[in-house]
Amino acid sequence: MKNKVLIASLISCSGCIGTLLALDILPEFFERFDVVYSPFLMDQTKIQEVDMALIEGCVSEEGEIEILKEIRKNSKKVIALGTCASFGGILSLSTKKKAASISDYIEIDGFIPGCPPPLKLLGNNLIRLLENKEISLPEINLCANCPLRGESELEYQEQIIQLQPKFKAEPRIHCFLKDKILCLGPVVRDGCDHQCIERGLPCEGCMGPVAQDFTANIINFLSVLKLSRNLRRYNAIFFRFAKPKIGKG
Amino acid sequence: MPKTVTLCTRVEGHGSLRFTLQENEISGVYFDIKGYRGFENILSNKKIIDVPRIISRVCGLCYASHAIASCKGIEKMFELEPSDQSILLRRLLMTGELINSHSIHFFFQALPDLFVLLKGQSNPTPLEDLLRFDPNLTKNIFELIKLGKELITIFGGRSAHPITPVIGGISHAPSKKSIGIGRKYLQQALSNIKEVLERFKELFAQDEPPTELSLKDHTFLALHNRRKYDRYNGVLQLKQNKKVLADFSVEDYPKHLNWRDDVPGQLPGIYSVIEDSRLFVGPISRYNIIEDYGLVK
Repeated sequence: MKNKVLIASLISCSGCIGTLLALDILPEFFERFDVVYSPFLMDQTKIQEVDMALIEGCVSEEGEIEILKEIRKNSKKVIALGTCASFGGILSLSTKKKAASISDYIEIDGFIPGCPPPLKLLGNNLIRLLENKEISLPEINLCANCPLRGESELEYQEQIIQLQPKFKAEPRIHCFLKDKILCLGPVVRDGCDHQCIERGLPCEGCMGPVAQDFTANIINFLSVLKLSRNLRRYNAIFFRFAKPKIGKG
Repeated sequence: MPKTVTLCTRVEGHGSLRFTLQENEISGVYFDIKGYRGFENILSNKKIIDVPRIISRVCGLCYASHAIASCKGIEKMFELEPSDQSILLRRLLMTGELINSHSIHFFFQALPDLFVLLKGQSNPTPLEDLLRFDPNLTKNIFELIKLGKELITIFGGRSAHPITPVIGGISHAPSKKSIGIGRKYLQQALSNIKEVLERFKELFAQDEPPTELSLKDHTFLALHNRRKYDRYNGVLQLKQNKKVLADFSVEDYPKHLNWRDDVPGQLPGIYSVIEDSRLFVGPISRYNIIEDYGLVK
């Protein structure tokens, strides 16, 4: 008997499913799992009992909470797929809409972060799930293996005045923070192979924190930095992938 | 009380098709889109350098097009001209996206319906049967989806939500070596596409086009570049019953299409409308408007 799997989207761009479909192990995934519910791939609208649910997207309205609870009731294992499901995601930037992670409403059995989840990280973890193992994520920050880290320990002495560097043809050799450019690497989880950094762009934080709450980490970090007045007022730095939790919920 | 039939969910953007029946006659057809996010609210008070990387999140299948369209819009406002190299790299990124997203769409979303429309099957092919239908076709499609992603990664910097399209051009040019690899991927993709097309012809070439697709009195809107196929540059054309209503540049969009934010029964948002007509965009429009695909017969 194949294990049954359900792939659901809440409020999302479907990019996590798009990433799943591009994995090297996709044939094996379909071989080993029986996809019984996935509105993106099939016309099945009834949620049924499954061994594992992969959920992408955030919770924004009441309707999604109902779907979530229904899925939880019917699934042995629930995995949050991507940054929206794990932390709230890009809709956190909205001033009008709610963007909550699924773990705000149901118990989850693991999450695979990233916007989108890096192919290697997602592939490796799906293999682990196929083998009935738990998800494994790097427990270090992005700086630990950063190609721009250099020899010395980071000291945040300079005032941070920029969000984006001037793009140059030659590759960058200095840490963004040392060059007065904001990079969220120190409080963000490793696992993305530094794709943005290697292409001259500082980390925006899509992988989420190594531990604890997303925005608490970021606010803590920014309080250590000397952030220019302009940047301090710019909320897109703070809420790009998660809204701050004020009080309960 | 009308009866409601939910028909199809296999569409991008969490859409679904819903019919209402009154005394066994169709009384309404609705294209429902769940989850209005309102990117117009998300973007207000954001710095323009952040726009491409926020707006790409509109769609997890055509992120590059969204990011590049936002760059082009802002470049127009500031009268910036990206270099020829930047434009070529953007086109390559969009090609990767096209290979990826259209392979997904063709196989998972369109093909199951073609068996209903053309072969008289009563229901769309279920996923499990679809995957087993023709192992070689499935293999080609999986390879195309993957090759598309590889190209997106080379030219966009990430596997989705690319970081290279920035206002004014491209922030990072791939190395010569990466471009060489990209070239190999494109050649491989071409051979996969040829096999898929051959199989498609075998399957459907003898069938008459479904009457459901001969749309009357619809207005088509698509981009063309001197009547040639182009997805980056060109002018927009409005066409109705084989008659060209207008050819206009992107800046004149508001002169030819009205913007409404109060379409009854629809989610809030901004809609482009032509009064008293149904406006079609996408592949069917493109097919009706483009005269020259640059193909050697």
